[in-house]
Amino acid sequence: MRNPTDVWQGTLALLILKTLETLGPLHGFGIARRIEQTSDHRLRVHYGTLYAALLKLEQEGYVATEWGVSDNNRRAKFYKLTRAGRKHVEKTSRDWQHATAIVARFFTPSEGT
Amino acid sequence: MPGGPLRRLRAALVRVTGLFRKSTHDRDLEDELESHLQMLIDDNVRAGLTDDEARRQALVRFGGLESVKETYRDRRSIPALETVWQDIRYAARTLRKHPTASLVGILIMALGIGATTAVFSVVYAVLINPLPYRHAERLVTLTYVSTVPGASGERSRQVSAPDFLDWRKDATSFDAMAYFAGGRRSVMATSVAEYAVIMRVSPDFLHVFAVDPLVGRAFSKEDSRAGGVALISERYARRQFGDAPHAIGQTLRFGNNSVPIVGVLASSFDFPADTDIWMPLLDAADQRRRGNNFRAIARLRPGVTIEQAQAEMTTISERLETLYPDTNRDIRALVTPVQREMVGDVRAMLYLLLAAVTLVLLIACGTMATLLLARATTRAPEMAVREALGASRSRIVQQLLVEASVQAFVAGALGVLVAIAGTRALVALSPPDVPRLDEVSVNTAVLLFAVAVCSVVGILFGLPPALQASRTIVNEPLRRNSARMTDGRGRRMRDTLVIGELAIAVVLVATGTLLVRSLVALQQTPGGFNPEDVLVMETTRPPRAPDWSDSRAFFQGLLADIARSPGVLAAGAMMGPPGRVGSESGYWIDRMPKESPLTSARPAVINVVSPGAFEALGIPIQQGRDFHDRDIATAPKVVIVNDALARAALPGRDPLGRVIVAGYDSADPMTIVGVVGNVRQYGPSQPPQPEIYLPYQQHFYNGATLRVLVKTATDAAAFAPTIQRMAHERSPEASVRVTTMEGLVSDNLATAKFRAWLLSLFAIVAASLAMAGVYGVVAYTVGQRSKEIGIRMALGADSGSVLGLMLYRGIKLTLTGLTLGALGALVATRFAAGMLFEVQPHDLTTFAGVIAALFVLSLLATYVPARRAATIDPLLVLRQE
Repeated sequence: MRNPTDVWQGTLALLILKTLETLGPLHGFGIARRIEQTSDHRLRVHYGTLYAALLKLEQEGYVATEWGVSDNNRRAKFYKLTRAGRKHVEKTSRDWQHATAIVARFFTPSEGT
Repeated sequence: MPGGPLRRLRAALVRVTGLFRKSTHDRDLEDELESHLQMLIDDNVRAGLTDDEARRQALVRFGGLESVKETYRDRRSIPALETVWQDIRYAARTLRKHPTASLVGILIMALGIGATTAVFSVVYAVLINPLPYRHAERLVTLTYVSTVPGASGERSRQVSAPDFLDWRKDATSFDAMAYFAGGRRSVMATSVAEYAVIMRVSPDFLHVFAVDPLVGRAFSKEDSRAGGVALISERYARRQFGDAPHAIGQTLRFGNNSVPIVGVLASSFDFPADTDIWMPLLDAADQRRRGNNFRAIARLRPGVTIEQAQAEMTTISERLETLYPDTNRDIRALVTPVQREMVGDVRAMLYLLLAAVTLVLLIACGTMATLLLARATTRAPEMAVREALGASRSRIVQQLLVEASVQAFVAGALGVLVAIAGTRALVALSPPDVPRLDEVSVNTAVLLFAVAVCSVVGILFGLPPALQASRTIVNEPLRRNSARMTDGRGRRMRDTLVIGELAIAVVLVATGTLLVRSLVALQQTPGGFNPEDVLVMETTRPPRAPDWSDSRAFFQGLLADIARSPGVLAAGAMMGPPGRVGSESGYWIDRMPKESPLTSARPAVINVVSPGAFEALGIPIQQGRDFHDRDIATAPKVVIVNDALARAALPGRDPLGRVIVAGYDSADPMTIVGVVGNVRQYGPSQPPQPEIYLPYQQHFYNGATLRVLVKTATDAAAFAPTIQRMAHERSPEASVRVTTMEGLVSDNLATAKFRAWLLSLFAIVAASLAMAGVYGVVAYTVGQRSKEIGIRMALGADSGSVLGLMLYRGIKLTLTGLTLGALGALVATRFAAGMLFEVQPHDLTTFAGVIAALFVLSLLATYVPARRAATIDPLLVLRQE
């Protein structure tokens, strides 16, 4: 396995939102673990950046927080998508797919040559 | 993936709130991270690690809890603001650590900011704050201006009624136009006669200001025909009748006439200033086209500029010139914003003061910057440590600027106290010709100004040390004793500051000296009379008889009573005492050179006097005789002229017995019976003009008002109640107002005194601060170079050469500063030229004297620390190494 790279600048928020959309309310540890697992440990989340990103999303009103109890009975702060966050994740996902599709075209050999 | 602008705004607001309730947030974060860490450990334990190893790996994975927290905190609130708050608290601690130095700096700045704010409060109230009338910015005055520069009537505030009526008929630039005339008159509101300021105004007067009475009604069309109603000011209503509503229906008595009060105007309306009573102008007002007895005011139509109105009025004036060439030649109407007209000459003086006080503030900033620079050098190691620990340069500059600003604002808070006291002092000392002084206060606008000044000066004196510190190279100051390595730049900066301070000081001291010399010259100018122990009682006795014979008799009797009193050396009466011109007119002598309109004849001051007036004022009778009690209306008309007139009109010939014609009340020929000495009738700054004195019994007009002059053997003021009683005993209807001649003289000098004193004060402060600057720089150099000096002396330099070395440094700075200052002063004093008397703006003696004096002071400021350098004990210094 290659050394894990840090999450690319600017994509962390989307990864967080997508994670919350898939798994529902989750604590910071869970989000980080999920991102790393999904990337097959090729991505590595810096916790400082993670919590700063979560705070920013909260300040922007895309996520809300609540203290709760984790699966193995630890008190933890849970993040969940708000309605605005749900809309935002739909829109940004679309934008992202659109953008990556365009970029991808530059890397596939064009037909007919 | 940026959110929309609204989202970003929301985030920004949340971050601002993040500045508060910090501890709660910190605990929350602590809990969250702790729970995260525990889950990580749980995970590792489940993967089969021992407890200790699980914990260790979790911590490693976390990569420094503190750095995680720091990243988070930066996002939570606004880091720059948080660090500013840290810097402020740090600055407060630093200030407390060096109490003396901080106190000195803050006091200097407090005085500078306070003085500037105080002067600004006057400037704001008088020049900037709009007049408290509706459409104040559209109010203009209409005056005359002559197209011939330097003509005697180059500018006249007063206009004639026929011209005004023509303007009003033709002009389209104005919504409303009005004219008015008036002054202090005798009124009986109750049983005692008193002076009140009365204006007779044309019907449109209140429309111009769009003002309605507080109670009662405004003038109606019929009023101006009957002439018999009055509006009074709220202030006058309170004084005479208790309150405004009670004044309605009361009557005012003027001699034989009774006039009902129909309305009261709110005290916010005060135009012209200090008016007590407004009455309709009679339709039969002065109809002579050169009877310039009225003032005119108008309100511009919305959208019409001053320039457009001026263009229209010029056209109308040119048409009038063609129609009435005899009277209106070269005369144009001038449109001026009313605020500017009200302020008049005061404007230049106030700007001079504001400029001067700003220069003082700049010097104070320079001094402060020098103090901080010196401290910055001793603090270089501290800064280097900060930088070594990771503080960015901008962070260090920020810290130093915050420190400077904290001092500026502490000084500003004190400065506001200084300003409150200073504003009171300025208002109390202001000469009488400064308008709107009652509106001067330290108000919101003035406080905002103070805050702005604090911000600017904080940066001004904070920037030099901050820049110097930011240029410090990290490693150098950390090495022992290498603070000196950075001194080259600091030294240049300090030198520049001191040179600037010296230059500004020269400008202020030179201007102040010129003004003081002007004041001294004014005070020493012989006025042509002796004001000592002379009482002046302005007296009005409203006539009841149609030919005014009763009022004439009143004055004759009163003067006789006073002259008989013990302790009185001489008594007389005069229309215009020295410094106050009652009337002017052209004159001819012996109908020569040839008969022509009086307007084109040479002008003279016209005065009306009683016998004894010249004696009371000590004006010498050089030829002929004084008037006597037989110079009455039925006797041959006689006049007395002054020496200036005799010399101008009859050089080398005997003036006595010649016939003169002057337009005061008639064009009758009058015989010259005497010549008296010159009096500076226009005040001490104007040379004596030709003057014609008429005997009061033959020319008793002027609203039955004369100023009674009483020369007493001893203290004049003690005699005031006596003559007041005498006047009231003779007639209870007489209004009187007593002052001393010396008081009038000093009123005439009030403006010159005010600006001379204030500028001297500023100059002294500026010079002291500049000298402190010179002293500081040399003393600092001596301190920094003590080792070098020690080595020099150990190697055989004598104390004389060391002294010379240090003196050379001080003198070089001084000469540069003084030279720049002299150049600056050459420019600056020209702006004060209009305020100078008998001294030129570039007066060589003044400049040389000022520069010599400052040089000597500066030399002294250099010598004291240089002397210390020369007495350094080389052994002592070298042992410190």
